[in-house]
Amino acid sequence: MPLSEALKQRVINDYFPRYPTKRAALMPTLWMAQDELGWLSTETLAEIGELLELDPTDVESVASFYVMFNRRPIGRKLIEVCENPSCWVNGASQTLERICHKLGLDPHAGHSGATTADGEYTVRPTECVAACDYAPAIQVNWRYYGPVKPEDAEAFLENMDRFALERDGLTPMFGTHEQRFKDGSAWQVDPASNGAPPPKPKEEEKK
Amino acid sequence: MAQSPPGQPAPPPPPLRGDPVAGGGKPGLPVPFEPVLTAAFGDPNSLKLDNYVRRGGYTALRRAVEQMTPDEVIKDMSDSKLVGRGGAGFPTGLKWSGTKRNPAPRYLVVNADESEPGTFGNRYAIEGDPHMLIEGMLLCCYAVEIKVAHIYIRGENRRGAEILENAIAEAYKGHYLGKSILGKEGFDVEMYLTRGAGAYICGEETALMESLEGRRAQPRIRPPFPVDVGGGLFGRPTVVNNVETLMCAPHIINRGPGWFASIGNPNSPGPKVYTISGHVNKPGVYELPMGVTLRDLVYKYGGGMQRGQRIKAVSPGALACQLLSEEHLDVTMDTATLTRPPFFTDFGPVGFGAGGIIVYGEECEIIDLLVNSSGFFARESCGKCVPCREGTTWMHMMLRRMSLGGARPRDLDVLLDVARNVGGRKTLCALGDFAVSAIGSSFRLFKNDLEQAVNARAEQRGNGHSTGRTERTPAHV
Amino acid sequence: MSEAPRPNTVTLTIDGAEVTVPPGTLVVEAARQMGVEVPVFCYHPKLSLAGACRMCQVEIAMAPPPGQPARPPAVMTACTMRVAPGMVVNTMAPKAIDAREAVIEFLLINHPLDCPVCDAGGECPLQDNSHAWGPKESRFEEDKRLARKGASLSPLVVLDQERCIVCYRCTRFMAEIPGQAELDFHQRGYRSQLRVIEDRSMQSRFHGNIIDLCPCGALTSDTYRFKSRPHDLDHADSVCAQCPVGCNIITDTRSNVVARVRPRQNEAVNEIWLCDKGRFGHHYASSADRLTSSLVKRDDGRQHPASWAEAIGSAAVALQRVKEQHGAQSIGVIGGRNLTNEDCYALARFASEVLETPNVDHRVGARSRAANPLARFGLDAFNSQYADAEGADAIVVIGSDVYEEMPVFWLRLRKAVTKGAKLIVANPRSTEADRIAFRRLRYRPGDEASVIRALRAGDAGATGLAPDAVTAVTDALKGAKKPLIYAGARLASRADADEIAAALVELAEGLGHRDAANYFAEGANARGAALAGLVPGESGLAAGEVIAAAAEGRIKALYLVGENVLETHPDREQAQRALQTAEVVIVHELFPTVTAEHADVVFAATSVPEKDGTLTNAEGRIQRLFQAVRPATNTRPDWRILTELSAEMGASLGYTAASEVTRELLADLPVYASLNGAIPAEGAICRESAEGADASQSLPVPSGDAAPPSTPSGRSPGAGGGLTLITYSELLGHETTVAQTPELLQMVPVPYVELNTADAGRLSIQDGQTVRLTTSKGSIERVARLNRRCPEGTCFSPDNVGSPRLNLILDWNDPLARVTLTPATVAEAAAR
Repeated sequence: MPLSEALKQRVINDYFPRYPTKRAALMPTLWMAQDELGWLSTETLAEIGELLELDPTDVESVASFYVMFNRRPIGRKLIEVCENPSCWVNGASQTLERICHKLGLDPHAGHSGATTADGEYTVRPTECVAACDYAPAIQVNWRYYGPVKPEDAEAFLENMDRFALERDGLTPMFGTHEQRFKDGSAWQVDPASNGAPPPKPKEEEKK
Repeated sequence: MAQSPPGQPAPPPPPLRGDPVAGGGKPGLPVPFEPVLTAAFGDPNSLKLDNYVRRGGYTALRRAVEQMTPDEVIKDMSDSKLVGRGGAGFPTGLKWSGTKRNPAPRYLVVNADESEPGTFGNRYAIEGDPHMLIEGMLLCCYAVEIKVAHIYIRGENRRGAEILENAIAEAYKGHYLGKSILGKEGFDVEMYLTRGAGAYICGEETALMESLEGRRAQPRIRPPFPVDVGGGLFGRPTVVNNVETLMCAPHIINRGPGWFASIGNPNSPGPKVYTISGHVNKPGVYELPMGVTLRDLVYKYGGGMQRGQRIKAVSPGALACQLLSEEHLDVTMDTATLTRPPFFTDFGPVGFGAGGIIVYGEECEIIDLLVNSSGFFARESCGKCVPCREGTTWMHMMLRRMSLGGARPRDLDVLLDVARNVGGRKTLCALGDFAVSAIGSSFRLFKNDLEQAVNARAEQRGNGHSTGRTERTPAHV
Repeated sequence: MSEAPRPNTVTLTIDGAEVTVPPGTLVVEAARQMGVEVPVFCYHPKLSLAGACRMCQVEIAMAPPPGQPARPPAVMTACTMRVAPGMVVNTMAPKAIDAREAVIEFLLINHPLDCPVCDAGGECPLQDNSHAWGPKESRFEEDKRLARKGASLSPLVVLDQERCIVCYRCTRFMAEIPGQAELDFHQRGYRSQLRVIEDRSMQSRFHGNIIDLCPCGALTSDTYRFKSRPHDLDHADSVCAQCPVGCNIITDTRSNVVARVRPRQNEAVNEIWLCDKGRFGHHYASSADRLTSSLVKRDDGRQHPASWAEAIGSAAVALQRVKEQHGAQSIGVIGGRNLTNEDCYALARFASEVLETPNVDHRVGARSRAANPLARFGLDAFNSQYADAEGADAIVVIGSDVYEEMPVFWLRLRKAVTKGAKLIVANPRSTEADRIAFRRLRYRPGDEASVIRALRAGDAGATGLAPDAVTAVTDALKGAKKPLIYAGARLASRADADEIAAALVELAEGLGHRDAANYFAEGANARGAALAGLVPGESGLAAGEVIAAAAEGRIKALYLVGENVLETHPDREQAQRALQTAEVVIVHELFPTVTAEHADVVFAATSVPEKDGTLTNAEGRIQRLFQAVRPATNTRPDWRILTELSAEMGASLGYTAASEVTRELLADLPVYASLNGAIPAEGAICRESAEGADASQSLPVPSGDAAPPSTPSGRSPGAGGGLTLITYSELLGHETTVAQTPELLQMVPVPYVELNTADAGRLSIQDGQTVRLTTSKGSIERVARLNRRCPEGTCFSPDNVGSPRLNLILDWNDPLARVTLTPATVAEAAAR
């Protein structure tokens, strides 16, 4: 499917003036194209190349460097489970396995991910999404969810909203840890913890 | 020129500058310490310009523009002894003045590609108080006489990008961006946001600039440095600063460099946004004076260890830093301490990174941790230079094999040697050093654990027992 | 930036010895200067710095600031560090050696080590450096990375991804030198793979160079694959005879067959580059289709293989007969642009001394008399050297697709632009050069003289050019300290060649650089042929006129040397008539061409790799070439055929060896007088005008200036229907030299016609559709390429591609003929 004229105009009018070279508009253009079409086909890359006066191979070379650019169609819900240490020590790998198991996907498909036959879900591990305080953290279509402990994997698939860390784009993430402890949807503080209770004023700093 | 949004009677902010320095400023003594960077986090209105102005926002900029010359702003930054919060710890004032020495046009690039596993302070900062970042950027633009500022934000943080886009639009509307800002003739700044798309290496400043220029994010050779002609964005002298670094700027201007320099470790002073995660009960963001002890971070703020376990290891500045162990609980967590002896080993400085502390309890086997972390660096190596491209993956493959019970007698020796060949500044950028810090320090601190685990698993497997783990295909790398 | 005065030299210590080099020198180069070889993979002096392979690590201690203790040395890469005063470099420090050993170990863990079946074996830097610096055993116990082997990047270049060490030499070359990033790494890190986007292959004219640059066997030549080991090759220094640039080459042969061609470094000409035609198009010499015997048309009207005696005898008799019956004026001689200087000189002497005809020319289709239209202004056809372009700050290219016409020189122009020169490209249609042009001037075909005058005046006038573009160009030229103007070769042989030349000189003079103008040449040795005297005499006819006269029966004998006029004369019907009408046609050829079929005598000639001699390139540089292979069976060099023929006709040229001809032409032709009979290794620029220049110092009023401006010859689009057909040769066409290399032939475009999308819409023509081009001369089918490269009202089709050639529908008398385009299917339907 070709890129929309509106997108091209946006690149020309909004992005070209930002940078001294047309090439510099490549990252935003790839993002807009992916947002519009869902993934970046060879034809799309060639079209972008024409727009930015770059060789299509050059465009593909850049696009393939960044793992968030999809070079093949993905599911409507892209579930990315962080497997870096903070999440991993909290069970992220098991969460990933359980999610995959529930969806009938190969949990070891690697970073290119696996997609359900109905095209609904793509599941893949990802690198740190900077939500280590909600480990194991998950992004679904680049929105934050967490913590999703292994035992919560099924519940997560059934009702993702319960785990959502953000509602609409611009309000702050809701739920400090205190709140989440109260509604019982997250983990409990281990009473055997040898930690001292945090000083009161500091609770504001943490969100 | 209208400076405030109509209908917003911004109350004049308290004249902070010149006030007696609050706080003791001794390492590890955060009382009385007033958090400034994170003060507004969690307030649903903190993203709005009017809210920021009401909280005293943009007074630093106004003070700078109306009462200070650009060079005085730079001098304040130097006097504050602020060092970069991204990890390299370069003095910010020096970077600004160095860039300004070189001819215009110059650029400001904000490194908001916070991708270090275990570090998430910048994300909170952007999503919590975006205008503070914009004001910090404007101070830099004013001081270094920069007309175009780019923010490069990591692709995963789409939410942060949306918040920043909105904030930038609001700032334009409020005439804090664009032409003749605050009525100052010639103080023009255009600000743009560019999103990354999933590449850890973009946190390296030259790779980030390559990405901004629409290329594969592979680090450039230095010299020329970003501050030089030919080394910066589009070949122009460029200030590349971390989000948190710039967010300190308004406070330094407001409260004076003396206030800043008096907080925490005098060698790398200031308030610091620590992030704690891993096996702690209360992972999160904590703004504390530079130089709080690890013990306080874990037990006082982090809520102690999950299930009461003991600390096995700590990544003091997230994955790229060398591991510490329980014996280091009393070390002060700041750039100066963790980059100088005795925290400078044969694998280089232990490192403080961007202050993202990951705590691993006894439940975590070092060998498994190394498999995990080496996999990260193998996947995130850009592939430009040989030792990193080949070495990171080789180490990961060896570690994985060992963790699955496939160890051969000399494996650990080879691993250590390969780690030495990758680290020690043998690579184009610091990723090579990062990739071996955990491994190198494990040999120093946890050699016994490693040997025991590796041998035990090999024995188990040799006896026909399954390791109980699933073998990954090489494609996972 | 600190612009403090810098010292002119830097003195540092490398391996215990002091060396003094200019500031900014890289440590690796400083070491090389003193004979210390630091091993490298990614570093290449012609490419940007990568710092990727880390092979060149050495130990460097920077000089301490005054009064401070010495700094500890550190291991650094010699290819990215620039020298500093007092720096101490130790290339053999144990730490550096360890680091290099580690690099080799890393490079080899995933390398397939398939050296026994690798073409690079024996000339492989990876092999050599592993041998010299590598560990003696491998500690790698994991599975090697598997990747594509033997994948075609194009019909000419093969990639073995497993061997690739990811040094970025090839991708840097493609992006930086020809500026065509059509090969790049895909993915990242451990999985980085060289790749051309799917469904495409490399199209560049220069991508063969990546084979030379590759420091291992990852990139190999499809035509040379598994052909030979390097130590089995014989080498001959030669000069490429595929185009007028005159690139220096090494012809590698095995068992008397050219196995491959490599560029030979000559910084003044090709630096170290070579285009793909020069590199791969060498198979014609050993082709089985070569003529291995002369042919004589006997009484039965058919050609028969003949002995040299019969062939020489028949030709002599026929030529004598024509000369006696119709006079020497009735003989026309065409050829020389693809021959060596020796052949050209012999041919020139043969024409003037034996045939005694003034109708001699090497410029097929030419209408103008002077081969060098600048001569009457006391100027040479090319008044600069290639390398001068690098120092220019404004460059005009008019009437030339320089990428196709002068490929390796185009690389020099690109370099000039990257150094800051403003490139102004004036052409009726869009060309590759447009991509880096400061301004693109699109004018009506045939309007060159008016366009040049418009640039001189800074006023677009009636040219139809955008006034602000003209002003911008004029300003750029006026502000230039060193302007250079390059004109396409065909502008020198057109009917209005003198007018164009006058306008060029006027423009150049207006810029204060009278010698700024340069004409390219058409044919590898066109300049040499002109200098050797293969140009029309006082009352002689130009090559185009010779064919026209022959077609009308005024020329009775045609003597064609290496010139397939049926395919190259821009009017096939006229050429056909000429060949049929002429009483005698004598041809020297390598192959049985369509033209040769019409000949009474065909002499089987030798090809360039089979000859000793000299070539003179477009800039006027004479260069030696040495015989690489023995001549094909029963073939003879042209000079020898001419010598024997002249002897048979009673006036022997008297040559017995090529070197004799060389010696004589160097002594005899004033242009080469300055050489004193010796040609330096890098060649020597020879200037035609060296002596006569002073005669024209006093600014002659160019005739074109006084004459009323010529009416724009391009007609307005739409008038009379049809489109104006523009044509030029592409680098890769269906010439015999290309046709014998199947891999190269695949790079030749499908015969196409390029037209504007708007015109195509009007004519209901789709992209990729076969269309019929019709003129008064006939019609021909071509595949339509729709884009915006041709302005509305014009179309372009190359004249050296396809069979039949485009000249089937060209009219020599009306070079700007209009052509009607119809979709082929419609045309067919109408015919039915």
